[in-house]
Amino acid sequence: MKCLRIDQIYLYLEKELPPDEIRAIEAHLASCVKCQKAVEERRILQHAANNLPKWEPPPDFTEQIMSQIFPANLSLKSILIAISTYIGFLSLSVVVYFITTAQSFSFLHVRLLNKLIYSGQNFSIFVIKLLKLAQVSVQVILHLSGYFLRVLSHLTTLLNTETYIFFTIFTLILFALAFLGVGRIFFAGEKI
Amino acid sequence: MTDDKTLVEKTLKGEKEAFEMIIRKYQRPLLNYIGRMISDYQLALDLTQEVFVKTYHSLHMYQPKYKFSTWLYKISHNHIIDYWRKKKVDAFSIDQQNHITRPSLQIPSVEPSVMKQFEISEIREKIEQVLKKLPPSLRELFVWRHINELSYDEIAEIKGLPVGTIKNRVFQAKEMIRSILGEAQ
Repeated sequence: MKCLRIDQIYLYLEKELPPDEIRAIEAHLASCVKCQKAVEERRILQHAANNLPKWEPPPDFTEQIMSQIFPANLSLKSILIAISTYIGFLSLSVVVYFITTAQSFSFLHVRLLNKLIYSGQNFSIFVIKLLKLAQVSVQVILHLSGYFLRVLSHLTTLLNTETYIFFTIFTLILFALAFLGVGRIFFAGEKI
Repeated sequence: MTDDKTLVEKTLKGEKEAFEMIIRKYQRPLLNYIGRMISDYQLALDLTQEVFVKTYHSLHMYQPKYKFSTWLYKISHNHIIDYWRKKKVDAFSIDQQNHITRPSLQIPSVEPSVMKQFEISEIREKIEQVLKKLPPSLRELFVWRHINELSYDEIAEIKGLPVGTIKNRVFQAKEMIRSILGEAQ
């Protein structure tokens, strides 16, 4: 038998060869020092490669992945716990505030009531102003539409039939273009 | 122990515990594969998580005629390529072999003894370092064969290449490690 090829050596070491070929290789190895050295060299490499240290994931790795795939749903119980914790914390803060500032609860009651009345007044003023603005806007729109209708009726008496038809068609085309969204391209730069 | 295909079926029926079993079974092999490919433990953890999330969402596309583990490795392989593409690393080299020079298959007349110079623990450490220098295509095959302990048939199925080609490339990877170790002496 000729000297071993490198691929043959690896296959021999990995026991991937048929028994008769293994016997032939072993017979050759018994008499060939060069091949013995080559096999030994790769046996060490093979052994080290098969025993490389394994990387370990953190202990809660599975749970981390599971929580990513199945995010926990908020149960009614957890919501109630959160609300009661919040209320408890708020009450505690109020108590601590009064202890540290040495104020009475009745004082807080009066202050809160004053604040409430003051805010209510401000809010009602704001609502009245909004209503006034709405009233003025409606009046302006009514005036403008009146003017527009008067101009239109004036135009119909002045224009001849052809011009009237032309303007009607032109207006219809403009509406059609607006509906098709052409306006978007010209005015907003968007593509349809 | 329940087999992978049953676990997949159960997961698809809505049993979360079945997918948890899949994660417990494959988290170590995938972490070791991805970790050795990108050489960063923390990043490998993130990518492994992403692979499992991706796998869960594509589970309905899994075809039981293929081995589940090979399908999972294929997803991981594609995920690493996507990651490299985003990082502008040469992602294509993992699937290319053309640039790798083929070592001779004959034993040279005078061959230096590289391995005997080191203790076995030293060799392991050095292999870890040298792995980073291997071309990704060879590194991947080496990791699958020696760290994930996949058979040549399984690797051939993942890569869609003949078994003989895979065997030759794994030998190439080992010979390259040997020669880099020799140069470092």
